[in-house]
Amino acid sequence: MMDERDTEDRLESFFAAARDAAPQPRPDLFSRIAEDAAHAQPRTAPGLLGRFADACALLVQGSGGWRGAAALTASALFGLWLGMGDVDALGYVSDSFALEGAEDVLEPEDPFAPFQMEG
Amino acid sequence: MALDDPEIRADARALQAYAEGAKGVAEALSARHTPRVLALAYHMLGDRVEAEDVAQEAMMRLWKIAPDWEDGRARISTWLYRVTANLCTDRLRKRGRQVPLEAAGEPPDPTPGAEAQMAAKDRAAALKAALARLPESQRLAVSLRHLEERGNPEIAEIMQLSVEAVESLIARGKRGLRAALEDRAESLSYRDDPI
Repeated sequence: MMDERDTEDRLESFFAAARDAAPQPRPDLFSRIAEDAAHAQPRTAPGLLGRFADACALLVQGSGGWRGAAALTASALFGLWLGMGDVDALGYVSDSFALEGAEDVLEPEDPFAPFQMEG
Repeated sequence: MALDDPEIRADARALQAYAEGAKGVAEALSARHTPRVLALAYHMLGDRVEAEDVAQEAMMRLWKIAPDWEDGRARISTWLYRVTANLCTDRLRKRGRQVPLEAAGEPPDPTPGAEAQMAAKDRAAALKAALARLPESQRLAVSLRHLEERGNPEIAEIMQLSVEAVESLIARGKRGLRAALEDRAESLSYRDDPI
């Protein structure tokens, strides 16, 4: 009759064989796990600069790309210049738009003058 | 193994670093824990592809819990074993049977001169088939104790049972294995090597 120790040893030989036969992870399993890990990894909270960059990106996207954003920025700067600049400069600006002889156009001769009676 | 074991603390620190966005830490954790998770899933399910799916899912749960992991709460390995055991239980219940898909075992390697290798393969296949005949809780307890070589207190933690209950499960499981392997001995070429 087998004693307890022998029985235990023989069973252990089966366990040892099963341990050796246990599958090792294949490279594709490690790749899948690494992809999951990258996907699930929490991102660090953005700082003030990061939030500003995000806001700028949103603005650019909402204004039709970089060209739209540049036009919007130029308009805003011009408006700022008008608003905060020297008031006299506005006269220069309006003068620059005035056409030669514009007074004649704006103040034409009185068309009824020949019919006016003296006295 | 105490919770202040340097290896355990290193694991917890690595998981914390992962949660804080460190690169390359997940690969190190995966290299360390995936083999044992895969092995347990394989012993429980008997199917490599299913075991790989379970291992991937268990690791995914680790990544998800990383931001909330409390240092000193548990060993990562213990936690992973518990998750793996639960995932395997779910799969076995969905299968509607507890016999692993490959319970019959793989055929012996016919390569001439590989007698010792064949003997080991036959033994592994025989044990796999015998394990498949055990009730799920006994299979888990025996696998953790004799294949994953975990201590009874840790197995108790994994299975959320008392140490006495674990000892009882292991004893009954081993009795069941001996009985199954005696039956199987007739078909093996090691009749001079009774169980």
